Amino acid sequence: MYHPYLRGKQYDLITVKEMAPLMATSGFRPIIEPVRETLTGLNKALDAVVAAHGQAIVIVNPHHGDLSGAGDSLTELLNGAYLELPSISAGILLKQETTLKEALECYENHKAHNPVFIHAGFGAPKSLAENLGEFTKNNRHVFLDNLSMKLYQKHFKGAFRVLVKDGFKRQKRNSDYPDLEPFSDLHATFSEEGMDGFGDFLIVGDEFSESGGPAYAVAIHLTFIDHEQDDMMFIYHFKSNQQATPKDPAGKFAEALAKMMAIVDAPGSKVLDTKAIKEFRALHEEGHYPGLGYVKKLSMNHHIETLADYFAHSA
Amino acid sequence: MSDLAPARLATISRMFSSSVIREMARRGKSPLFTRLVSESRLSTSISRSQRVSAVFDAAFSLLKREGCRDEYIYKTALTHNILLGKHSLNTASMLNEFRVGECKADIAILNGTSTVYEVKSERDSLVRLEKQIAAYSRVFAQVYVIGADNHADSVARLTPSDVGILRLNSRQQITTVREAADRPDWTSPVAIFECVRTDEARLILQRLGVPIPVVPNTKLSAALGELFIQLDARKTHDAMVQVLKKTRNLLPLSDLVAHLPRSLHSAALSVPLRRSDHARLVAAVNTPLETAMAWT
Repeated sequence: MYHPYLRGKQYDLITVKEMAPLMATSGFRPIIEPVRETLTGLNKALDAVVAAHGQAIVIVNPHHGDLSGAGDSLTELLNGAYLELPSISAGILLKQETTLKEALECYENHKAHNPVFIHAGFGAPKSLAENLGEFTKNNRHVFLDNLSMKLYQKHFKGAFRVLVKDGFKRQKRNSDYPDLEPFSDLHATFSEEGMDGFGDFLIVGDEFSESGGPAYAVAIHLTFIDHEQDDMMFIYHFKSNQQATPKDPAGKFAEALAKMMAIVDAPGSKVLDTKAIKEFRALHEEGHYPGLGYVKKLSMNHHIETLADYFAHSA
Repeated sequence: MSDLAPARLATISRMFSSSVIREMARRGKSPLFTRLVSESRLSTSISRSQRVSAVFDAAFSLLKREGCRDEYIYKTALTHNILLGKHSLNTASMLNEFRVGECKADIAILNGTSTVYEVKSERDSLVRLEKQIAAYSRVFAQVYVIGADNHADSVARLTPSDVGILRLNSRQQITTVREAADRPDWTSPVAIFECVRTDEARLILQRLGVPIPVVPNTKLSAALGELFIQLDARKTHDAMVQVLKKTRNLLPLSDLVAHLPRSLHSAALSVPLRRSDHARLVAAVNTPLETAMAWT
């Protein structure tokens, strides 16, 4: 059903690890694109998925970060341990520059690994579908919304199809985010789009950046589903007041968090009281700043918990 | 000697940008470098069997001609002649693009005192100079402007007499036009607090024997800021120099610098890199051009 797409940075992987049991019981299947050379975080995340009897897709030819263009070493690492397991699938990323030959080679190498195609701008869908023949139907196909048209997706009709749409509208500077904006309705509409599953890039967005440097404003991103508005998902952006210098991220976090708690704890709040929110509340009470990566992780956890709750109650 | 077109110069300048260095360090190759080399047509004058380092050296020689020099050429001169020449990585540290208020100081060098260098190359304008000088003198004891000869008169006119002026000659030597005064007592503890990190502010206070308040970390920076208001300027400045020499110590980079061509020394000391990436950067720089021109 839900396929959260995560670039495997440290905290993305911790989210996968911590959310593994909930994702397993909810039938969620994370797609992980490894970006770090050290694979310990990835191993821990996948161990947690396996221990929870969950499922995951790991991209074996990543596009971003340390490992881009070095899929072979990654394949080597994964082949030994995880890809032999039926619950861990090999994700084959099909970019614009990927040739049909490369795609089919990668498929051949991972035929036994329950391969999933991630369509991200690939130029030869028809030939790929023809070459795969009947096998197409046994494979899962994930389409990145902005990179593949309906006509493209048609070639893979009959297979398990997943549409990934980036609900997060990234801004150049944190101070540019509106206080509140629509996020996505795909969780409520994917079956009407003829899809068997859906996904998003959580609250990070489909834009890979290595570091970004110190931020002048701190922003906490928080999603919620509005049952009074046809279950549309919205996102709050809570921003710090101080924005003139990159100094004092901790103090800025406290400012943003105070704004967030005022909304979350207001009577009739539409934000689900998740485990992540409880942790935010504890940080607010202690006046403690755990670091930006940790805050991002809490926002991601909250997003997954919110969607898990939605499907638990809509089924 | 024909003048190079500004667009081509800008392309060559970008070869020394942090993006190129970072790509090489992270991935062992830099498609951006390859693109810049072919756009700048440098690849036509260098044999394909030469290494990437030879291209950097060739690019550097083009940029260092008077009239063509960019900020990087000046920063390299400061790195070689002052940081690594007059001082060493054992005794001094260098800050690159250090944020001071709304400005960014090009280079500051810390040894016994602190000296900031504002670069005004042939390609820069002097519009912001007065504002920059005012901001820097609140944090650093000595302020120098190093610039092109076409700026010399204007710089002398725009700056107070305690601001030093340096020039860079055609042989990459720095000569002093006007000595800077050493004025640590004119710095401002609050301005210093505003541009150091919270952990550094704490170390400065500890050095001055001021007890650190026990508060949650979201309230720490504000609490430390309160304490700086009451400090003595000279003592705070001197403590800042000692603290930053430790927290911004460049000695761990000396091995990396030793393995890179001279033209890249300044870049290597300015772009923050993970230790594990050093070997990859060195390997990338030693790649034959033949291979490098196919980086994608």
